[in-house]
Amino acid sequence: MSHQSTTIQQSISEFVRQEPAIAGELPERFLRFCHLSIESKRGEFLYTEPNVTDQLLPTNCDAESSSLEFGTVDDNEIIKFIPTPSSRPVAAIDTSTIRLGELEDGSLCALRGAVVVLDGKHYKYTRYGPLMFSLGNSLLTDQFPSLGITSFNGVSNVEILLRRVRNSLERWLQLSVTRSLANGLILIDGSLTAGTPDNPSAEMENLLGVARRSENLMIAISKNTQLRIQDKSITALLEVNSEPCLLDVDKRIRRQFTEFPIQFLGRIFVGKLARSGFPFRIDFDRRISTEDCVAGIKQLTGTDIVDQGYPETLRVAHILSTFTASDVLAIQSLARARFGIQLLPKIALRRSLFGPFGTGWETRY
Amino acid sequence: MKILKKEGDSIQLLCFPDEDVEKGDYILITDGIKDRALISQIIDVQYANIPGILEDLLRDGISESSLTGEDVDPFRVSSQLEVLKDTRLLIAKIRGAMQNNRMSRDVSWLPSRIRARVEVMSPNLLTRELSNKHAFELGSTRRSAVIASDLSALDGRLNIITGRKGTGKSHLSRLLVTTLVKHGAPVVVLDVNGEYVNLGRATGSRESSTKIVPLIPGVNLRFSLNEIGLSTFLGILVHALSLPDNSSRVFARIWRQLELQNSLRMDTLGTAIANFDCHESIKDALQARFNTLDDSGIFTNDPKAALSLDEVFRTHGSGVALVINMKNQPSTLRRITVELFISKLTDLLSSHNLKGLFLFAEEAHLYLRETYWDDIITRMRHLGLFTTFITNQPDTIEGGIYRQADNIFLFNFSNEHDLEIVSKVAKLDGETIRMIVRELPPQRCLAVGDLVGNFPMVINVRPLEVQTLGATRYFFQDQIAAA
Repeated sequence: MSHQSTTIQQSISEFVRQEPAIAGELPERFLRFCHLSIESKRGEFLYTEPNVTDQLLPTNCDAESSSLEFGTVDDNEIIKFIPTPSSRPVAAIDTSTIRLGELEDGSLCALRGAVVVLDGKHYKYTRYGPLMFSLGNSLLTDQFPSLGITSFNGVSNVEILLRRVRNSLERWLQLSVTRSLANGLILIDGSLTAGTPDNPSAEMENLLGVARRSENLMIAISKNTQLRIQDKSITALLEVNSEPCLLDVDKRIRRQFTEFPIQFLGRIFVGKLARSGFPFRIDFDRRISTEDCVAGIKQLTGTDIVDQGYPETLRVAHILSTFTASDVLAIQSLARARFGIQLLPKIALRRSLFGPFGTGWETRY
Repeated sequence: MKILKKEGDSIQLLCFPDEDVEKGDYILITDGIKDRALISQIIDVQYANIPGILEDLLRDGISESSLTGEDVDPFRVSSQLEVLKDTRLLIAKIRGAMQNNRMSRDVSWLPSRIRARVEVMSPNLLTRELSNKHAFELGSTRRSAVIASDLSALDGRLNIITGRKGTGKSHLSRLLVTTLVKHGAPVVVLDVNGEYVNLGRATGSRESSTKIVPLIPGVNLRFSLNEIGLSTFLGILVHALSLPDNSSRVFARIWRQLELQNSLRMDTLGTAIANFDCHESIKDALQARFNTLDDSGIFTNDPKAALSLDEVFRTHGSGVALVINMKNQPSTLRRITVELFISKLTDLLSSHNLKGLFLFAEEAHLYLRETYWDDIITRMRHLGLFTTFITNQPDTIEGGIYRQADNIFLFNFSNEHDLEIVSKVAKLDGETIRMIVRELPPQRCLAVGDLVGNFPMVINVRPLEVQTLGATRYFFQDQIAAA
């Protein structure tokens, strides 16, 4: 373990355990990547989108996308639970990315991550970024391995690259928090499914392994699952139940997928965490027993605020990591001021051709 | 600053946090290529509507309550965000233009939004086309830049000074009075609160300038009947003391008889009224009015004790201010005094014994009869009587006078009704008045008219170096001073 990463872990450990929170440092490799990638674009034109926040679509979708066969659900399968207060620390990690506009070759992008820890009744956060960088065909691929990103097979595009950079920061944050925390409940956005180039199994297995060793329970909560039963989301299975409950759907789902390349490292549940709240897909580490998973969920709902069925810690992490329109303006103006990037409004082709008779979103601007 | 939008005579500018501007400031928008510039005045300062600002503020709000933490922000984007959040939107009114470095009223063009240079303008550029034969310092801008003007812009003009109590109206009025006197002008002040009597004394001095002449009706302000004449005396009886027509005709006969007998004095007038052969009711009416006038002490039989206005103005050819101190006087006596004075002044001006005269009338509704209002802004103006009305009740001045006023000095008003009245000023749009006047601090006014080159200006009125009375008196003076 390098001196740098030791410092980071120490910082996060202090952030988690000490009062007041101390922000951790970002790995030097991230900063170097950002600086080098954007410095190489100095003086270039940036064609900005008329409304860049329109692209803020969920990017953390499941790797699986399938309509499943599903038998009937017996009431006995539904695990009802009562929230139990606990002293276990709760931590949540979330990240987000945004494309700020198009460069001559690629895009200018930004990345932000947030770690939130529930300490008693107080939420403490460390927010990382925004980190500004460029991505494109001639990007600095030699920097990618240093970010933990594997080399590409085939054609890459900015969306894929952006997702990988984001995953790289997210994994670093998850790993850092998991190493720093003991006997905690760690919430992440999405699922524990791995095995895609964006989300290699080895990294996820490593993360889960670290969590187990430090007796942390990793809980992945997905707002937008692609797992569907006859065109309805699997979360519809619990829509009629009003009390907090869990439904283990793992076996039914797993048997419908082949072993490779997608790997379900998590045990899949549909869960309703609060009375009359929304149901979500919830993944637990497969190697943790169902009893421990249920106990973890009881402790989470008894400790954190679970308004509308979604843990507050994760909600705050999400809010802190997202980009607002003014963030975008600030980053764009910084790119101009510090890196001499010249901003130009992107020509809306549809609008240019059809004016008010276009049908795309750009006709609104 | 950057141009955002122009609509009609309004222009919107984006102003960044490091740029120091305020309501009332003038902005010069120079289009380098067209070699001309727009002159605009800020009438309101708002927050710029930055996209996503609501989300940002909500997020900050959450952070302030139950959430604490730190940002690891290696690019220091937050500093840019702070700039964005504090970016202001300036609403400005286009007041004029400059072409080849000269003032122009051609504002029918648009400056380039990209190339235009937008900067704060010096007030001296706005008043530089005023004559400077009788230049004086009116005050300063918020940035302490001197606002100079010229007294010729008061000459032949009708002026109004209005504002809430305790905002500095009388202070400005005193500044104008002393400046006019210094430049050799004759001034009469109708002073209802005794605020001008010490104008002749420099601060901390016991010596008094001979150019400021305080006059107290019945004490050192007295007239002889011969100097007054029948028409003026009758005017007092009719207008100040409401004498009916029948009685006034009888009085005229009595007056003429005494004139023929060369015995026109107060004592003989009283005797003549008592002995005149007329209906008892008329006699009673005349007797009652005569007693009122006699008791006032404003008339004297001693020619040496009587004030000769003609002589006063002749001996003070290098400028004088006659301050008629009407403090603590009954309203009837005030009306009598003002009738007498204005009548005499009109005679002097009609006979060209006086070239012109500046009249400062504090709270004129307390003593000026209704027919005088129109007279002052029409006939008397042509005779050379140039009036400045000073009031804290703007509705006591007729709307027509606001529309005809050449210079208006507006101090703070917060009352909607008062703002509505003063927004009838012809030389300025109501929106500007409402936006600026509402927030003026004490001693600062919005000046509109010839005195400021017809560019409305927010002015910190220059301090006076003379003793003043009439500043609002406080019981808890020490606390106020400490505050």
